[in-house]
This record gives sequence, C-alpha cells and structure tokens, in this order.
Amino acid sequence: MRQFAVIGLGQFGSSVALSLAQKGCEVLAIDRDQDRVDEIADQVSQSVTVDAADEKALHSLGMKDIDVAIVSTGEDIEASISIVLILKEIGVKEIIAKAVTQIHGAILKKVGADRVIFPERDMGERIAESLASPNVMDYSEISETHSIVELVAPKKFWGKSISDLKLEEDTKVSIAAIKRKVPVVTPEGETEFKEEINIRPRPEDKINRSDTLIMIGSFEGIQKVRGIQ
Amino acid sequence: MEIDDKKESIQTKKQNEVETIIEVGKFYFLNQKFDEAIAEYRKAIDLDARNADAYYNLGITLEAISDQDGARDAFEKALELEPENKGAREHYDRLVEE
Repeated sequence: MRQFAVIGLGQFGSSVALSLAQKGCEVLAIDRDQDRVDEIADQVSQSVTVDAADEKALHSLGMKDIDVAIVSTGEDIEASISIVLILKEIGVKEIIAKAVTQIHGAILKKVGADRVIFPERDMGERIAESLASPNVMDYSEISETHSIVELVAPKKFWGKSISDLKLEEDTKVSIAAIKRKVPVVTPEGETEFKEEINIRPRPEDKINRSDTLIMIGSFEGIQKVRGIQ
Repeated sequence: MEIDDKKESIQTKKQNEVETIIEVGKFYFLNQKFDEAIAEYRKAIDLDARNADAYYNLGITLEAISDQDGARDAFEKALELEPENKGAREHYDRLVEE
C-alpha cells in the first residue's frame, strides 16, 4: 500500500490527510503545532509534532519510505521551499506542494516538486465557472489547453443519440461518461432516484432529461458546447 | 352536527383528490416524464399548500433534472410542514452542503 506524508495541517492539509486515511491509506501527518496534530492524531496512522523545515528533524522521521509527500505549508513560503528541498534530498518518490502565488509555484518546481497545486486559485476558477453558467456542475483543467466539465444535458440534446449530436465533429469535445438519475421506488414506497453512470457511452446511447454529461475537450470546444441551450 | 359532517366529508374528498394527484405525479416521475410530474405536484400544492408529501415529491423530481435551487426550496418547505420527514432532510442537507 502506498504511504503518504502530509506536512502542514492547516485546513487544506488536514482535509487531504483525513480523506486519504478514510480511503484506507497509510498517512503520516506532520505539523509544528501540537494542537493541529492532536486534532487528527487518532484518525491517521501516525502523527508527529515537528518543525519540518528543520532538516535534522525531517531526516529522523524515516521519510525515505514515503511514496508521496504533500507539502501544504503554503502560507509559509520559505518553509515550504525548504521542506521540498529536504524531501528531494531524502529521496521521497513523489512530492506535491501547495503554492500561493505563481512565483512560489515556479520556485517549488525548480527545487524538486513533481507537482504544484494552487487550491485557492483552482477552487476560485471552479466556482466562477459554475456561477457563470448554472448548468456547469463541476469543472477542472486537465492541461494548459484542455478541461473536463460536468454539464447538465442541454435541452437540445434530450432524446438524441451521441452520434446524432455530432459533437466530436463540430467541437472536438467527447462525452466520457453520462450520469443519469433514474427514478425508483424505495421499499417504503417513497419515490427516489438512484444515480447510474455510463462510462464511455456508445454512439447509439441516447441523452435523457435527467442526465449530466462528463465531457473532455479543448477550452474552445467546451465553450462552444456550453453555449448550446 | 350535520354541517360538521358535511365539512368533514368535503375535507376528506379534497384530501383524496390531492393524494390521487400525487399518485399521478409519481406515475409520471417513474416513467421519466418529469415536466408532467412537476405539473401534477404543483396542482396538488395549489389544492393543499400544507401537503409535505407533494413538496417532497416535487423536490425529488426537480433534483432529478438538476434544478438544485428549486429542489432545495421544495425540501425546505416539506421540512417546514413535516420536520421529521427523513427523506426531505437527507436531500435538503446534501443540497445545502453542495
């Protein structure tokens, strides 16, 4: 099983640590603040109160067996850069670091972070996307040119098959999955719906009124699809 | 006494009518005719604005077609009328969290 270390247990770090632990992963949680460590201590495999920017202290934790380290001391820019450097020296296989500015992110990459994340910026973009068009349920960029979007099926699509839509030809956007809310009756006799997911739907599969579509495509392509009512 | 009996009989008749309309709504919903189901539930609410079941079913149908705001309002109303409605509580809490 992959072993994770989360360094910096602010709101972001502790939520990453707890989610990983809930999924059954081995998690070593680290912070220099005793209270923050105490808060999640009994929910993760191991927790330590230590200043991770202290090279000796970090070495003493046996971090070389860690597969993925998440450095989420973003606000303390200097500390996060030092920690990434030390982790790289120790030989941690994968380092993911949280950045607060573009420059901070660029430095983290330079000193050895395999992946830099900007949670606040990304969340801001997602919220803006969903506010700008209420039919967008979720949105995330998967590269500098492409994104993945979860969109409520536009009226124009209802009752049509994927091949009828000619989406790929017109916009180069493809439907990766269809989430459908299917009406059911519970054992208690109440009406309810259950969600079914159709991964890689076939060209003849039809779009329903209660569908949301998970689509992948270029920014321009996705923009075109979002304009369809 | 006779007037009271008459009143009660009218009340029961109205109640039965509302229940029938909700059943028709459920039939449409189960057949994925969402607009028709919504129209039936709204008809039931027009007749009996204090019917938590009509609001609950309206909420389920609106949520099924991803009208999250409309669904949340309907579940909220169902809970206002019937605070112990478990289904409405679960859906409402989830929608508020989203």
